[in-house]
Amino acid sequence: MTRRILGTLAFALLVSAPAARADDKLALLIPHLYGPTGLVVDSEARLPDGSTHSAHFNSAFQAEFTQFNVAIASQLTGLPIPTPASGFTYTLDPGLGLFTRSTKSFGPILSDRADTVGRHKLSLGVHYQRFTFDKIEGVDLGDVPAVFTHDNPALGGRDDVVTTSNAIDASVGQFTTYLNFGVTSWLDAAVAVPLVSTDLTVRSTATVQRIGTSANPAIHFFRDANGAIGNTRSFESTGSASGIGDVILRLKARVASLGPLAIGLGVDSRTPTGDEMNLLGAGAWGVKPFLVLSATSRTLSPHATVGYEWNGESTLAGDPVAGTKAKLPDQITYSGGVAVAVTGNLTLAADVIGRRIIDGRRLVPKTFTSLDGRTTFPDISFVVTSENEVSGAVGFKFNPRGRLLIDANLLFSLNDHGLRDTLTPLIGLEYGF
Amino acid sequence: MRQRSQRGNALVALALALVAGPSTTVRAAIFDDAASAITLPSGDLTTEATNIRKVLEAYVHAVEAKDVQMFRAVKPNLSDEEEKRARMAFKSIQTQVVKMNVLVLEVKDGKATVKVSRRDTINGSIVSSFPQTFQLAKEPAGWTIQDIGR
Repeated sequence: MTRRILGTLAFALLVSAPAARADDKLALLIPHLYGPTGLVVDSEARLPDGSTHSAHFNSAFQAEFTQFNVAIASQLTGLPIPTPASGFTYTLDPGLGLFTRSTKSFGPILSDRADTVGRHKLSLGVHYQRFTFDKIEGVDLGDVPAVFTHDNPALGGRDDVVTTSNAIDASVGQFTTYLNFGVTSWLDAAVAVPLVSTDLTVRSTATVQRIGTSANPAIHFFRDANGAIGNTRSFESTGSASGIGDVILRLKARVASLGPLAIGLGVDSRTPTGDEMNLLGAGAWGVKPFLVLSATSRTLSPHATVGYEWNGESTLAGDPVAGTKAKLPDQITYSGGVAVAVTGNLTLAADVIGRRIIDGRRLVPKTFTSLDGRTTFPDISFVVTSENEVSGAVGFKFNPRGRLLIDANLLFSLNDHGLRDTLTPLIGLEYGF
Repeated sequence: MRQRSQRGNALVALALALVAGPSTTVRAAIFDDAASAITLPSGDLTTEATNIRKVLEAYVHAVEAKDVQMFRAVKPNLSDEEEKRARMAFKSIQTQVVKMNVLVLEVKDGKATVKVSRRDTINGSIVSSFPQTFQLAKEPAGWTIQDIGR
């Protein structure tokens, strides 16, 4: 039954969501929300030379909301590679000639431990997790305010502003297949291949705030399909895409053991195989060396990891409209937690998972004050800063039979930084050969 | 498995011309007796070989059946701490199949040393082969395992 569900899931991911059209890339959805292909503010005012006045309103939302694309890409770079089923390792008790499972714990789900899978052993896993993003920097994605100001604002007609309330529905499904092979008893090589499905809908309701043109509504207005003019108009843009994401290659070695403490070193290489313009991948190479410390006892297995991810240049971090690239922010990743073997076939795992995005562009809520000095509106701006995005994870690994593991996990936000999903479920299967 | 091993004993008993002697060392090519978990070297062996083989087969049965009492029967000097480890080991494994190739069998003065190459299949997966050495002693009730090592 489980196999059928997962198969259906994978199939649905591959075929049900048609890829976005080439001229409708998801990364362009927000930049194109306003302008010639989106909402246009009209005007019937005449310039002194008699030509038509073309109103130009600008906003940080449109110009700088690349944080959203980068944040989605960042989620994709944080692809979890589940710990191989190294819970199925056995050590020989030489005095009795009996094998004992070295640990009852099956290890963490979204974190890692130093154990390797064993020489010439193979483990295969599939995991599905779905993000439905709720907030960005604590701002509800259902109501992101943004104020558009006129070119060269000045008292009078140019004092008008357009206030917008933007609702962003963004969800990303990841179906990850990974293969882990024990090259030696202490070295694992792994590959994780994600299939990603991204859905993005942006709805914006814009209102002309007549601060300077209250006497003449024809100067700035929205025209509807029937030609009527008004102060308010809504616009919606939607798209979806699916396909292969960024493939991750991993080498992990158990380099030392100090009593119950094991030390592992590894490196993840992220290849830009996902289409970044459709928000399926980060669009940049990434290399992340990491250190793992873990201890093993019969029932309690604490673990901690720390890594540094160097990222290359991506269009998502630059200007998707112009096609120029900029450096995707580097990040320090860290995690710590404990896996508890409740019984021989059930392990509970709890982790704190964090990353510090270095010099990333961050949304900051602010209050806009118009040139008249009295009128205010909620607004956003962007700053470049480094912040920690911290999440919690709780889940279990259940061994119904043989070397099969069923994984389930809930990932939840522990702070407001970054693009956040209140609760991200994960289900998966692992099998050790 | 028990039936297979009993048939194996019978086959070995018939196949081997067991010759009693004060001291016998056998180093010979391994033959594959698929009917038994224990594969003995070919060649002339003492009559003790059959009995030693029975002890090793009982050991294998104990491991495969996860039977502590049977384990203690073939290794009577099992300490309480060792028994506890054995119980934990048995509890941590669902299924186990043991195959042994006897590489060297030495019998002298009521003592025996058996060097084997062992391959276990745990929960359906094969564990790499590893060497093992059994020290046995002949007691009034028969041969028993005194020590197990690498």
